[in-house]
Amino acid sequence: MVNNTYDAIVVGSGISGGWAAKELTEKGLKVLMLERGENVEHVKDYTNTHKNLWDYPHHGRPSEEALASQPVMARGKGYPFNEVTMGAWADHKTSPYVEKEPFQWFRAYQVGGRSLLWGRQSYRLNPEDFEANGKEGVAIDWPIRYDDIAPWYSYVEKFAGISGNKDGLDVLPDGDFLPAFAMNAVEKDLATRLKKQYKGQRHMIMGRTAHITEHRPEQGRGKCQNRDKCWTGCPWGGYFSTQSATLPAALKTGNLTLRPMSIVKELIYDKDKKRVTGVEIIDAETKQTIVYKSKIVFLNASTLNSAWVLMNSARDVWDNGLGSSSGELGHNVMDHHYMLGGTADVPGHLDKYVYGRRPTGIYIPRFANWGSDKRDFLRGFGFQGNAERQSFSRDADGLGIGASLKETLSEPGKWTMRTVGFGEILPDHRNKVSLSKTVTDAWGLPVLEMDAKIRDNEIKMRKAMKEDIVEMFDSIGLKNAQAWESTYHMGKGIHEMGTARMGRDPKTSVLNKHNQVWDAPNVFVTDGACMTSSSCVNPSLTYMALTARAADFAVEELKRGNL
Amino acid sequence: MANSSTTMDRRTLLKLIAASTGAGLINAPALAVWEEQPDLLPVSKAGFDEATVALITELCEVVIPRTDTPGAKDAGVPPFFIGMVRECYDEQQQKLFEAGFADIESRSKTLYGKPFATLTTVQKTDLTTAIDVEAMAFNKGEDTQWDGEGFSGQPHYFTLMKQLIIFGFFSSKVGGTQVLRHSDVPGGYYDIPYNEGDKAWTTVWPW
Repeated sequence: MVNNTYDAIVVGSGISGGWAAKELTEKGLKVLMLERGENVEHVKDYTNTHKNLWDYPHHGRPSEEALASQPVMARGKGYPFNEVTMGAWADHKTSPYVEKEPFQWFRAYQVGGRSLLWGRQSYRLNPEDFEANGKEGVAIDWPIRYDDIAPWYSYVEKFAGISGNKDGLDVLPDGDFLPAFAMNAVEKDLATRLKKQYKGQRHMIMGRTAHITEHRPEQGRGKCQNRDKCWTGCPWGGYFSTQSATLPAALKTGNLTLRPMSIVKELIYDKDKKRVTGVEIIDAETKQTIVYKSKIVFLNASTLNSAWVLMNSARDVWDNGLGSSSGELGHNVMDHHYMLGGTADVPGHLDKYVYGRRPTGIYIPRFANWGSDKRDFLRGFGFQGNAERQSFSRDADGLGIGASLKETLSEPGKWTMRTVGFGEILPDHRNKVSLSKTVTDAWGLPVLEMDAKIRDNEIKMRKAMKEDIVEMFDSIGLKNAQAWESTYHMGKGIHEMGTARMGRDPKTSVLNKHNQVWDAPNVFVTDGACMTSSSCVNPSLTYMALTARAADFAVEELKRGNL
Repeated sequence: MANSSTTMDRRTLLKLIAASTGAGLINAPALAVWEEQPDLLPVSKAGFDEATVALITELCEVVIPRTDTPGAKDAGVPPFFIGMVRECYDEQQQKLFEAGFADIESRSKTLYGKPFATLTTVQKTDLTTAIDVEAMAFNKGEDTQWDGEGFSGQPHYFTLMKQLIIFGFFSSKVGGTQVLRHSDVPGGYYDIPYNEGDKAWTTVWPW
C-alpha cells in the first residue's frame, strides 16, 4: 500500500523549495518534495567538479552543434551555456515556451534546481525597497515592511552561511555574516578612492556571498576552497545549495520524501472548502498520473513555473486558474536588467598579484535616487565586479608571435577593473506570462507565453548606468574607462520575479502578507513569484527569508486549525 | 598563513556528507546532469589534406614555439586547433580559416617556392610575422594585402588563428601546468607579491 498522503507538499527543490522542506520537516510535518527533473546526489553526481579546462573536449567552449541544439538558450552565447555546465539547463525541445517578446528563460530541471547554478550573491532588501511602491504610486504597496522580514533574514543567513562585511550602509542592511572574502590590494585602493571622491555617498564593498568561509562539520560542509568551479557542484559544500545545506537537514528529520521525475500538472481544488486538497503529477518516466494529498502546499517551482501551476489549476472555477480572481496572476513580470557595465585599466600595482580563485567580487551598492541623489527615473542599480590582472585571453594584437608572445602571455598582464550592472525593473501589469492556447510540452501540458519587456524607466536607467560607471572610473584615476552593453532581454538576468505578487487586497494581489493564495489559503507561494517589487539586489536571500517566515506561519496556522 | 587550513580532512568530510544523503528517496534514476560531451573531431575526419594539416601544425609551433618550456606541438595544440575549427566555428568563419590557410600557402610558394611546412624556422617566422602585422592593420581598418572581401564583419583570418592557438595552448594541460601556474585546490584567496617573470595562474572558465 503506497501512502499518498502527507502533511505538506513542496513543489520544487531549488533554493526556496529546499528551505520549505527543511523548515516544515524540522517542525514535524511529513513532507513530500516534488521535483520535475532527475535526482542529483551531493558530491557523487558532480561529474565535472574535478575537471580542468583541458579535461573537456573543447576546453569548455560550446560546439556549434551544441549551440544549434539549444538555439533558444544559446542566444547571445550567455555565460550559462558552455561545455562545463552543459546538460544542467532545461531542454527547450521537451519544455518549450512561446515568446511574444524576446525572453530568455534559464531553467534547471533537476533536484537542487538553480541552487546548483546560481551566482550566490546574497543581499537584504532595504526598508525603502518595501516602501517605494506605496510612496511612488507604482503598482501596489508591499504588505510587509523590512522589520517583518529582518529576523528571518538573520535566521536564514545563519544557516545558509553568508560571507560578508558589516558595512554599515543604510542602502544595504548588514546581516549575520561569516567572515568576508578578501578584497585584493587594488580593490582596497579603489574602494578608498571611491569613498573619498564621493564623500561617503558611494561605496565599493566586498560582495556578500553564500559561501561558508569557516568549516561547518555539523552541516557536513567544508569551507570554500576558492576553486571557482561552483557551477559544477561543490564537493566541499562550500556554497549554499539544496544539496549542501537544506536537503541534508530535511532528510535528517526522517520526515522528508523526495520524489524526482514528478511533473506537477495541477493543484486539486475543493471549491466548497476553498482549499487545495492535493497535487496531481505526471511521472516523467512512466507517464502515469498520480494524486498526492496534503493539508498544505508550498509552491516553489521557480517564479514562472509557480505561476504556471496556479494558472493550470482550478480552471473549472476560474478561467485563468487558481489565484486569478484579482486579474494579476501572471502579470507584473520582473527581472534585473543587466548585460551592461564598465571596464577600465588600473595603472600601477605591477608588484602585486593574487593567489586563489575567489568565487565572488566587489559590489557597488545602489547610489542613484538615494539620499540627495535625484534622477529622471525611479529606483536604482548596483554593480558587481572585480579588479584582476589580465590572463592569457587578453588582446594579443601587437604582441607579435613566437617566444616573446608565449613569454608575455604566460605572465599576468596589467590590472583591469570590470563591472556589470543590475538594475531594478518596475512592476508593470502589461508585463505578463500566460498559458499558450496552441503550444504544449512533451507531456501535453500547455506552455507559457512570454510577453514582457523593459520600458521607459529601465531604458533611462541603462543610459545612466553606463554614464555613471565611466564617470566613477575616470574620477578615481582609472584609464581607458569604457561602458559596454550587449543585448538584454527580459529573463536574461535569471532573476525573474513577480506573477503572483503579495499585497493587502485580494482584488489587486494574488497572495496575502503570509504568502497565502487569497483564493486558497492552504497554498503558499514563496519563490520569486511573490515579489511585489524587485529592488536591484540579487533576490534569492529574500526568497529564503520569506519561505522560512511563511513556513513558520503555516505550521502555527495548522496548529490553530485554520488550514 | 592563509593557506595552511586548506585540507580540512577532506575524506572525513565527504564521508559525513555521504551519510547524510540518500535516505527517503523514491524513484531515483541514475542520469547525468552535467553531461559527458562528445570527443573532439579527430584530425583524420576533419577534411583537411595532408599539406594543410602540416601547415597548421607548423603554424601553431611558430606562434607558440618550444623554448626552455614546451611549445604548441608539445601541448597537442595542432590536433586541438583542427578539431576546434570544425566544431566551434560557424560556416563563414570556417571558410575564412580555409581561405587563410590557402593564402599562407600561396604566399609561401611565391616568396620561397616551397610549401609553408617545409620552410626554415626563420622563413616561417618571417612570413607569419608579416601576416600578423597585416592582421593588426586590417583589424584597425587600415590597408592590408589580404583581400578580406566576402567575410564582412569578420576579423583578419590570422586573428582567428592566433586566438585559437593561444587559447588551445594555455588551456591545455601542458600549457596550464608547465608554462602557467596551476593550483587545483587553492584553499584561499589573498594578495601575493609579484616579481618580474612570475607566471600567471591558469583559468577555469573558457572565456
